[in-house]
Amino acid sequence: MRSAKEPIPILLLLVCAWMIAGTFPVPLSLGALAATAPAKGKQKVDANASVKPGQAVSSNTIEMRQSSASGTEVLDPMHRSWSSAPASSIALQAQNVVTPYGGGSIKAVLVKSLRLPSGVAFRFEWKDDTRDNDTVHQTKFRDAVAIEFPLGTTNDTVLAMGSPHGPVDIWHWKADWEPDAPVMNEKPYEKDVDSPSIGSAQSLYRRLHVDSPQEANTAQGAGGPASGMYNLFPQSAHKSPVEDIVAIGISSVTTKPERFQTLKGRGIWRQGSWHVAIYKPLPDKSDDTCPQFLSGSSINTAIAVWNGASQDRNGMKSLSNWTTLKIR
Amino acid sequence: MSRVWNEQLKRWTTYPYDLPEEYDFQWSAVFNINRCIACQTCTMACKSTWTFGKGQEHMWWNNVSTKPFGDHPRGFDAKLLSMLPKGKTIFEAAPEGERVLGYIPDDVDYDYPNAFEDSTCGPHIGAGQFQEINVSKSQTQDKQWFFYLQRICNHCKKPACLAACPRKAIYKRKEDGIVLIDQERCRGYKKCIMACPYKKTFYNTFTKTSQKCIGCYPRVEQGETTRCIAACVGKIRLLGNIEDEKSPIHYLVHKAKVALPLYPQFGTEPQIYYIPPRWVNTKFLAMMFGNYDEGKIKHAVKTYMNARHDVELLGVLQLFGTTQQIVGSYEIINRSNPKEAKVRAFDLKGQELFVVPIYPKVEVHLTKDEQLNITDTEKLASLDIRHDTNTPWRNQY
Repeated sequence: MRSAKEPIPILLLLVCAWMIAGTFPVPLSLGALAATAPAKGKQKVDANASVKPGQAVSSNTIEMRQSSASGTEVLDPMHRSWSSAPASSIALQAQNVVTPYGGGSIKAVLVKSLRLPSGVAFRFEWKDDTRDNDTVHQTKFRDAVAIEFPLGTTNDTVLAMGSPHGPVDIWHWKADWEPDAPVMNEKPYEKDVDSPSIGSAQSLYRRLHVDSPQEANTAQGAGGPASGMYNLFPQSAHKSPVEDIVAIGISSVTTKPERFQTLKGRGIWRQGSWHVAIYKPLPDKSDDTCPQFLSGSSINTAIAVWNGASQDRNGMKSLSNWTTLKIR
Repeated sequence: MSRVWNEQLKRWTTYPYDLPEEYDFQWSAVFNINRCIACQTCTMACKSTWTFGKGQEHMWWNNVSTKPFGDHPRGFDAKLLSMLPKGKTIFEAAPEGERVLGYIPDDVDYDYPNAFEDSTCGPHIGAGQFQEINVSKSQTQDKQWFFYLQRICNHCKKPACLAACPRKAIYKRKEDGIVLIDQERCRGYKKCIMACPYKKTFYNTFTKTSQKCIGCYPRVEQGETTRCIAACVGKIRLLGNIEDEKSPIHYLVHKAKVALPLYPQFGTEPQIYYIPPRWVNTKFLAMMFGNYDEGKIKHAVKTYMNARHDVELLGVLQLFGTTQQIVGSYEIINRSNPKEAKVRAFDLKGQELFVVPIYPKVEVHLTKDEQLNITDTEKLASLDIRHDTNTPWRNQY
């Protein structure tokens, strides 16, 4: 689809260049177009550097390479340790199995994976023209990415959220759980949509009448609307932008208990692409809520990307088929 | 998709889930539009009880708006009516890949909850001209009209919010039919907000979850009415169990047929029933309360206007706002002798709540201004107060 659309602007540019400058060297104008991809210093050593995110060269395997990098280092999606990992471009399709249907606006995601002494890490990169990390407003939705693994011994379960006999583990990164995402103000009278943002997070508040004491407003505090509940969403500051989820079928997505929430992540949106790193400290051998990522083994995995600008959420997402993760 | 019977539309419709054919208890209420003065006491009772928190500023689980132009969120009904093909429910008209037809209102739609307050509708009345009001007929449409519409969650029998939730985080309680959103399971997908035709589920911008009217279930569990109903100054609201044939709600809706559901054509079987306003265009009311059937409106208005001669209906109307307990059943005492006729109310357990006269004795205190020598004795004496109003005992005070 994308490759069919691309020749038009190239052709237009070439025609314009030819009209203006006469005999303008063709390779130069093509090179200028390619330069819109993020420029990186050491891309030459990357074995799959030729595969750009969004490019429809699809793969059905992801290779998890050994690396001596630390967890902190791989949490920076731009860190050089990622350049040693081979990249796989995973094709994504719209979800049209279970209502509500949706997704399809993200065609592919570039995936890299590393096995560190302290854990495992994944890096996702996909083209998205808009950075959607605002869930404060009614009609806004977040950008997100998730990776799914079958749990237990089968290694083969239902792709769509697992089954009661084959549960799945899902690592779900959310753009609005990043520390710099817009949040509601503590003092709505002083700041609102029209005021400049204060601090790193952009503060938002609609022009609404507020006459309740602000101390009554802690969502999870005593008497708050979500008090006594275990739900990670009603938090103004998230410990991590990545949620660890277990599911046993459609509509069964459940946040794992607090003690299992060890995932870390970092997402950077730059020049029309998301670059997201997810890091999981090596799980305890007795922990059966997470794959063990044993060296030399292969496990199934699947990836989904949500585009907030296309109103993606829940099953409305672009998703991959089962993809083999080869652990070196 | 399951085939389900829609009692309000009297036909089979579709719904994503199987539903029980009957409920033991269905939380339902009758709102008498004719008596509402839009004081918003109900609105504030609800707000100060349930939605005073951060992220809930735009939520009005209870709101009273001026029809035909106002409502909250802005123009929700006009918008959905324009989207909905006539003769189809929102489930039947769902687009490919969706379970329900709907839309998500924008921020600004929530920002002016009382827009168009007291704005009238109708032809221009020129300078020096006055509106004629004629109450002698069974129904008179005023030239210029508006009315107040009191809205809370309808706790529908076929809830669109429940149907649309991809997580099954919304459920309808077996014991009382109240529809609730599980705040632990909700992940703020806003499919319920898109689906609810009455726009009575709201996205909490702070908790990132959706929240809605909870039917004051902690009160209902104690046999008490909701906050909005208990606080109603105009005594326009009555809560009960429509499934129980002894309930006054069952009588008003199914026997007297004086109370009608709001937008039954949406197909969710809403459980708030309205006694339509007497002075409003019948065609407009038929669109709102009658599934375009003007006959239903005419019957309801005529029956209501005739309440003074209908001892049971007038008796049931005395139950409105008289107690904070839910009236489970009632009986009419001395039905054949209007002077002695009384209504006795019982709670849900069958315990007597109160007895009130249906046609109470009326004392008329005539006044005379000695200085100006003004009396209206003749006129007052000629008035048969018992036959002049369906709430005669207000004249005692």
